[in-house]
Amino acid sequence: MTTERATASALRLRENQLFLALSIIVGVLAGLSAVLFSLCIDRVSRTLFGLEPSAARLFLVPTSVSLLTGVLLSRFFPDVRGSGVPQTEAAYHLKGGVVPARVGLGKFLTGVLCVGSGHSMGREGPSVQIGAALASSIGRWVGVSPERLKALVPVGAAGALAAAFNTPVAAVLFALEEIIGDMNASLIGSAVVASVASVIVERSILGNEPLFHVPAYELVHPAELAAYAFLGIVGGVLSLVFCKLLLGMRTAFRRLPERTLILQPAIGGVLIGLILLVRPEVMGVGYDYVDQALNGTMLMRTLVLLCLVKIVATVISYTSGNAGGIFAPTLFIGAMAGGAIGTIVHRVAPFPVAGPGAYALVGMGALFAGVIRAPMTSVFMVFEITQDYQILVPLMVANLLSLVISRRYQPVPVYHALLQQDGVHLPSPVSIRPTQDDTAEPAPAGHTAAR
Amino acid sequence: MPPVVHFEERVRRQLGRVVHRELVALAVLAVVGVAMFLLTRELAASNASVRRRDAASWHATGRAALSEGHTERALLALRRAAHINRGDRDVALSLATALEAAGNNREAAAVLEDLRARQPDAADVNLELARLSTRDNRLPAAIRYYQDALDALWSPASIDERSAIRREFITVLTTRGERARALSQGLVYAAELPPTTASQMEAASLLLQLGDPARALSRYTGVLAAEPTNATALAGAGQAAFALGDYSVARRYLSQLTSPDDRLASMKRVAELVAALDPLAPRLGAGERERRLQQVLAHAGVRLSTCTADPALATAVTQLQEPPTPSARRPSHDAVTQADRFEEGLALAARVERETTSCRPPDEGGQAITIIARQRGLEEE
Repeated sequence: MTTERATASALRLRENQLFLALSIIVGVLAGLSAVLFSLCIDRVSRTLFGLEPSAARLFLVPTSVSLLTGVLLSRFFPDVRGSGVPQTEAAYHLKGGVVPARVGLGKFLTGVLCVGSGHSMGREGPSVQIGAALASSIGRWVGVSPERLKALVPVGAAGALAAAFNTPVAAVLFALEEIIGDMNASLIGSAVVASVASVIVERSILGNEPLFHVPAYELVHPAELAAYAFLGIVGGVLSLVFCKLLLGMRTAFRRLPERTLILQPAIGGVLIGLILLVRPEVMGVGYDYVDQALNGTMLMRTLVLLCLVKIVATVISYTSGNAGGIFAPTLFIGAMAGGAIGTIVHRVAPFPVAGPGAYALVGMGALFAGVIRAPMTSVFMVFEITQDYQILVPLMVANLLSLVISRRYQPVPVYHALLQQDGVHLPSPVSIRPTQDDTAEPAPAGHTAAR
Repeated sequence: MPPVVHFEERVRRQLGRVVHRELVALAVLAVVGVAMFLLTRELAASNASVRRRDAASWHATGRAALSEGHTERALLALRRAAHINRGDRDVALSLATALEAAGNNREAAAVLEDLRARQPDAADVNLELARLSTRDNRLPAAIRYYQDALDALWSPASIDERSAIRREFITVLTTRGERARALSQGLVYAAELPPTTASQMEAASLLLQLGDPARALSRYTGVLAAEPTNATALAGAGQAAFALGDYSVARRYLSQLTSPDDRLASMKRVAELVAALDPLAPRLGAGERERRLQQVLAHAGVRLSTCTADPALATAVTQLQEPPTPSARRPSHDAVTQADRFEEGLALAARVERETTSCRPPDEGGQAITIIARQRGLEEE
């Protein structure tokens, strides 16, 4: 008996060291998977559409590829539709951190096909799920304890998101704010380690290029805060519209007979093909156009049009059951809306104001805060993208208003609402917090032994 | 009988098995990581290569559209090229050119400023920014950019290019009235030119244009020493000497021209008249002085008869035109009084020229009278 206790004590010490090593390895592998995922999407998109796609290609590519993904999603990978963030949250809170390897593989494959074939979806949500699946699979293969296995899920998610956005701090905050649902979680150390490891690997491959190239913006005049507040209100309303449409349309698709499940992605593909014929700018993640909006080089009419078309296209792509996230579309919609409002403010304001690009930047954050409901992640993400403190105050004002409006009229966050549609109910933040055991980094060996 | 195993040994063995399994797992994961890293890096390199090709293709399309005057199409293509290959300076420069062509100077400047932030000493970027600032009438910025372009690192092979930029800078400064800066740049420009006849002529012409006739004359005389019949050098030297107020030298050079144009011929006649009309010139007899004075006054009289002016001037001219009394012509007559009469007559004629300028521009005689009066301190510059 004494032998076993001593062995257990020594093993726990080993387990702490092992968890640290696993955090690094998970961070590296999750980062690599996110980079690989992004590169594959780019390559598939370039191969399918060519340099300058014809109208026939714009219509046929999403339609035909969606037929294939429809088969894959209904026959082989039924768990990988949509974003991947809600599924990761469910795995963390309800399934003890178990995410099958098949889910990661399926998400990678279908995500590449869906986003690469022009669906208006993002790659960050799938990256989070792939990272989480990778972390969970590694944990199970190495044979870590159940609580360590659960802890590895947000670590993998943070690593993947850090590489996908090149924003290590925002990734850690997202893991805490969204996946765990508790900003005080003591898993922060492991998430930081994974995030840093992931970003190092990502930068060693892709270089230290920021996701967007944004000029330095600042609050030019104190009265401008009113304009940013207005942008926050518009952001909140748009978030609300987007979420309601997304949930409503998804309900409509879910009401369709089950035998149509295999064809639903193709229905989305046809509609997206038609949209691409008119506005090919909404294809895929659309960061090229976000970049243009952030640099204030887009016309007002184009900004408004793209904002509206992107909402419709994303709702269609997502609700028809394709695999892809809503991170990137949210940023796109926010940037376009912000750019449009910035252009108006620039024309009518009786005081000096920042360029429309500054408003596009704040709009991006406001939509993120309103839709994803992760205001701290939003603030830090924009800060990491711009490397500029000057824009933080307007950003926080807009974020707050957007969040308040969105929360007031759509009390259940969109990821939770999506899970609820599938009959999965996550514990509320209140019920998570008191049980610190769920989120706490496993206690050091001495502490555990004393208990 | 089985061997007795101690407690510590049993723990060590049990732990060893676990540790061994974990180490193997970590090693396998590390190998997987390395393999995945290599794969990802290969794919990234391959994608980057495709993107570079795409960017080159868009760049070529954009340049072709730009040269055909399809600005909007060019902008679309070049924006794509710039987005794909963000660090490429050629693409950025083409984009800036297209933006300028589309009248979007603000964005063009932003693109160039972005390039400049990465390469502060890039001459072509600074030059484009300088031209853009000049077009936008932002002279201080234009001066700064031109200066940075000139101060950039230039290879010996591209010195001519730098001289061309300096020449452009001088033109900008001259047209914007920055004469002192223009002259300063002109001196540097002249100093940088090779010692060939053509270069010396160019330098002399520029210096003359920038208001430094002394250095211009020096360069022209240098050329004339080697080529005494060089008509351009003779003309330039004549003009430089004229500008310096050395009319006899100007006359000497200008008279050697076989077929001067109207301007130079007029300049030559003025220079000759300056020598021929001056009643206060040294080593002249009293009669000659009087003759010259009468010529000057006659010119003033003609001028007054064709233009309306103060009647007192005509009276004064008439009075001075009357020959001096016999007592005044005596040698014993006060020489100072005589000189005063010549000065008075010259000053009066110069005043007539000045006051009738609005009526009719001065002719060659009038110009000569004004010059003489100035030389004698009777007329302000």
